[in-house]
Amino acid sequence: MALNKHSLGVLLILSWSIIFGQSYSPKIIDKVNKNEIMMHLSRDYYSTLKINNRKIDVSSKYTESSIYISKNSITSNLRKIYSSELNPIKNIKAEQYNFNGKKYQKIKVDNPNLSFQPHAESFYDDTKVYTINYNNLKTYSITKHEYETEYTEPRLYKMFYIDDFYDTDNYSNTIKCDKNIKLCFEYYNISKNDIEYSEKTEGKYIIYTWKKNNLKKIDFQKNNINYRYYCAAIGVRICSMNVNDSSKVYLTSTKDLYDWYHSLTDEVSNKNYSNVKKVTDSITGNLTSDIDKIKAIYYYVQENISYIAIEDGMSGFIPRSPELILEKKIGDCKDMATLIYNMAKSQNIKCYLTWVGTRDLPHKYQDNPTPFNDNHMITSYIDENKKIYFLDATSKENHFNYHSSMIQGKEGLIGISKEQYQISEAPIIKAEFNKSIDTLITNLSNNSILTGKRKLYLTGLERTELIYNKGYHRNKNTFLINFHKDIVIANNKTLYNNPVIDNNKRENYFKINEDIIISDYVSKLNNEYVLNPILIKNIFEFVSSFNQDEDFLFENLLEKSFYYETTFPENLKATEIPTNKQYRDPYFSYEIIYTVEERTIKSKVKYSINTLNINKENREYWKKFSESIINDINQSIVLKTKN
Amino acid sequence: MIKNYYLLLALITINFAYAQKTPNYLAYNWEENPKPYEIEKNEDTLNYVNVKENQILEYIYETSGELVMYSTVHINIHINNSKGIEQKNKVYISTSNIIELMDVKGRTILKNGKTINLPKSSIKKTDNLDNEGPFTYFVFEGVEENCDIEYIYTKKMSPFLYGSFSVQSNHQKKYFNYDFISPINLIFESKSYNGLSNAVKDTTEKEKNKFTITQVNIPPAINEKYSAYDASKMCFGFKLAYNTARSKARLYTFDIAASDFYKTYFEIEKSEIKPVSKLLKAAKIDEFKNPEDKIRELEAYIKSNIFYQSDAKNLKFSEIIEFKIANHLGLSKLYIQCIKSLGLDVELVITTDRFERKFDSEFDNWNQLDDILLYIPEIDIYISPKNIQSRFEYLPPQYSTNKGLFIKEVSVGDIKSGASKIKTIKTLDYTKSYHNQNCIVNFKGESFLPVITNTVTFNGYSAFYTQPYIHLMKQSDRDNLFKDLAKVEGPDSKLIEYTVENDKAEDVMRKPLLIKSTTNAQQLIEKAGEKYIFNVGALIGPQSELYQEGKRTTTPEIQYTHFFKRDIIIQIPENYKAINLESLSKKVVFNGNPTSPCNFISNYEVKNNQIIISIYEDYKILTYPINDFENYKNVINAAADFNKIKIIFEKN
Repeated sequence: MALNKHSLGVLLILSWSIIFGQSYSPKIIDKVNKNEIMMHLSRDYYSTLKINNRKIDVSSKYTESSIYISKNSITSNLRKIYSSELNPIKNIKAEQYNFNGKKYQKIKVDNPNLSFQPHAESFYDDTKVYTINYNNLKTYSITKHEYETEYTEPRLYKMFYIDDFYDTDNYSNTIKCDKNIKLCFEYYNISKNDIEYSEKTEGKYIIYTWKKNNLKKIDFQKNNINYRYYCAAIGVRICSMNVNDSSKVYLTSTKDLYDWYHSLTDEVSNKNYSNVKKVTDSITGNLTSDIDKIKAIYYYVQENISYIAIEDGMSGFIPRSPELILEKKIGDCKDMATLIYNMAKSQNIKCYLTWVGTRDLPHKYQDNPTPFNDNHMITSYIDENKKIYFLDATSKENHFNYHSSMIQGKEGLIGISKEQYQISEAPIIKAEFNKSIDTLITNLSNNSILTGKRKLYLTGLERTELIYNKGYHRNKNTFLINFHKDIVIANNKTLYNNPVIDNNKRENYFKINEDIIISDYVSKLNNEYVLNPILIKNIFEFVSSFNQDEDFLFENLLEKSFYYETTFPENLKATEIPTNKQYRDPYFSYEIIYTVEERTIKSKVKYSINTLNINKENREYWKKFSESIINDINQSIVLKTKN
Repeated sequence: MIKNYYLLLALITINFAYAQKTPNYLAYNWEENPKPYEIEKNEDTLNYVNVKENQILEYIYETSGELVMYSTVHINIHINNSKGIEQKNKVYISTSNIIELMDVKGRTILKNGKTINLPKSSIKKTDNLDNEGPFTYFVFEGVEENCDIEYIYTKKMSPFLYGSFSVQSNHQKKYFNYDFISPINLIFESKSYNGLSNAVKDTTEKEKNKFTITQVNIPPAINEKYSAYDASKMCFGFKLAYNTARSKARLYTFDIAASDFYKTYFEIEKSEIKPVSKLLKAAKIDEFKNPEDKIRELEAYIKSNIFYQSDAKNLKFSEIIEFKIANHLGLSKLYIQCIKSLGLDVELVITTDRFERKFDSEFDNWNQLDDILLYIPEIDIYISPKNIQSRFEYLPPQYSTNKGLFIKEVSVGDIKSGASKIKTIKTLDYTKSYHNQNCIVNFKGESFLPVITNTVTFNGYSAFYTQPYIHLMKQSDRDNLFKDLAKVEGPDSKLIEYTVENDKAEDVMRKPLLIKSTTNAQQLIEKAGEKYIFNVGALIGPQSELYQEGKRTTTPEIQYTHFFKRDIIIQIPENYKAINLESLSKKVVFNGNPTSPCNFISNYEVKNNQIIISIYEDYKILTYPINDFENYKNVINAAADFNKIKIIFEKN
């Protein structure tokens, strides 16, 4: 789904301070933390930015040396280096030194193996992978590799990640830059004062250097928080270049970024495509209002174009012809965005190409006006009330009125015209729009079995999350098995029969109606029955796997309601009715209400989550809320035999 | 599909009289004027329909005299809806181990009959797709609802002289056909399993051998709990049985395999003897006198010091010891020589994973010669060279009870060779593997907070999937694992403290893994007026169940035999009495025999204001007759039923 421009991501955090061919002293072993499995002795970048024939040549060299400490690390003997047309790799060298108990001996390393394999998110692209295979690694073996790369598009230079999976003894990053090139630096998750920085002039170059020693490893799997939110990094942006008193701007501001993006989409947004019009006419023929037409267009693209990302060099940024996409019925996000744009244009409806980052990307355009701030392309439609519809046809289950959870709260860079853009946030979908209403109507028999009906009704992102997370489209039987396994009514012995599923994207609902038989739930004593009328216990199934002491994200704001009605036999009367409970804080709330009407116990649980992030500001609220609700639903009713 | 063991090509090179110049696949084609498939009743609920799968495996002599194989695959799928498009519009063809991909073509057949041929330029290649090796792949163009997609490709390959083919998948197939064509002198045999039709010989063919397997309406294979899913699928095996151009002798027999395996695994260069002595010295095996201890120490030493790597090069013993890495062959040979040096006989055992396929001793298909074990008859112990978990008597359980080809070294004068016999691999007694629990519960304060102290013990196979890895794990992963194990009654408990014993490398599969913990489990208490309801069943942790099972289609089969013994003491709170205790007594047995193969029995007594509960559960055999599935299910469910038991504390 994402545009493929971060393929050299954090996995290639690499560097250089030890000269190639130099052997190592065994004293190095004293420095390592024996509890770790591996450590980087050094990670060094050295980049050169030169002006050549009024263009900027950017080349970079990366060197990394590592020591293998524990036996466990010895099986991780492969290093992969990714090359593409935009970032070609060359001059890879690798060395290995094994420790024989007294000294280090150099071991021959085979030339890297080259293979062609698409990036994980692409169906096809131009990625080449060089694999270095360090054979015969032993405890305290040292490996070292270096390579050079170019940035054929200067705007894609460069986010340097300082932290790594392993401890790093020496990190350094040097940029030798022509004085006539203006660079801008941004620091992420690290203060400028926390890293050694120097700047000096050598002839026509300025040498910028950052160094940091004794870097501790970071965990790259903190619940579902992307590493970019906490990994220390320096963003280096090429802002402009002065040559012969004239200036060429690259990325001084969001406007420059937009101008560049616009130039890449100019061709497909300015042409008129006759076949696009013909198809669009057939879809919108009977419709009169713009909103109905754009809705029809959106659903057409969503349902008829299959998501396939084919990204070759700059084709990762430049959309293909809308006519071709219509004919082949395959395309990626930018293809679908431009198709919607052109279909709308053929009906004289104004839509706007829009660049947006998913929630994995933490930055804003104002702080970081670079391509690293977005990874997705959609179309925006602005109605007469200025309401913006963020139309993402890659999300196949999304209703026209709401966008996918992955871009909630993210800035969209909306291309209004060649000169004009606007930045608007894709709003966080409100909790009341993401409804989950679970209704269970049951009858208690004298043999303690509850039988009845369950109706589940979902809307908005609650609907789409269930569909995707439980694999509704892959296999409906497996979906139901997964669904019942994770969202347990009463206990895992409950039988679910005659399920009827009604999924309606356009009407924005997903319903499951089914019969249920619950046994071994109600405790029967001599002349009384004990039952907890709240039949669903694992109400936080969606976050139960997370470490609750660390940050995590909710997919969406939500509002869940559970209604339970249990009718009991005539010879019983309800006693010990639980007290009603409620809770409210700035982020979370719930209420639990019990009533008994004649022979029916009615209970209702309703809770809301009004934040997407659990973090240090609201973690205590979350703990209090989640613990409190679990306790408060643990109340039972006693049904006694009438005298 | 095939193992690259020994292609005894000398047996199949050509007698030019049998040369055949033109492969049949060149004449094979799809229909010129296709119509999209019309779905039948009930098929409209499917995302797609597998309309046709036609495969042809053709062996042919090239003009050079070399035997090659052309494998043609022809698939036709009807797409019902947009989900079907997403699921089936991409095709990936593995090109590992092929000589050439001869032809690939695809087309989309729209509902109006119009066809869209796949442009050659849309066919992509990759050297390595998700670490599965090279692939040719493409996406169909113009696919829409209610259309067909169809593709044909032919791979030219070195011939498979034996193999197997799994026919059944998790989606139904309307029609399956497999043609097997060979020159007249090469006679192949096949055997079908799990309900697949047998091969039918085409007697009209005089110039070549041809047999065909056809099956219609193949249902989806259902992955049932406690079953050998893959081993239960419809499949067939095949092998080259005769080359009449050379002799009447049967080819690729188990005896021939034994001879070859013997040469490969037992024979070594003289220079390899010294490194073996060096390794035994380093492992200090001399310090041990009886054969059990020697083998136990040898295995522990090798598994702690030499890492198995499937793609490592073939190395000499001296290199394996120096670099601490070996492939399967190198490791197995090293074990064999070490065991022999200790004065013990050792047999090579070749078998299959019983969950993937059962070893068929009646059909000498070399494709079954899959996994290697070493057997030491004197002490009745198996070693799995590559499996790091498996130690001493705990051979990997997937081989237990399966048959295998046992190859031992025999000597006639100075000449040594391999003699083989099919035997059954032993199954370890259920008493060796257990998961036991001692639990004490006290209630604290007005909220009746349950404070639970547990001692949980895992031994044998019950520790097989955790204990061997613990010393290799990162500290944070280790902590998380222990915390999960310590919260026996579920993740909602609060862990107060825990300690772990026998988690070191030297403890692996020798001492039971033991976890002691204290937790607070407020979630187990519910209030009803003045009554407190305690979910005592949750104390034994979530139990697997077979509540939702439909009609059983596969034989119940478990990984290993084992038992559970759980002792629970619950302190009754002062001024309260406990009621509903009788539900704690359960007896569910597979049958009434004293040796009933699986059982769940729980009892209780009240003594000194304590409820003392004892629970015993066992599974003594690996497979249970499908006709007795209900009995097996009842025992499995008994433990899960116990989970739901609640006792009630009521004021005196």
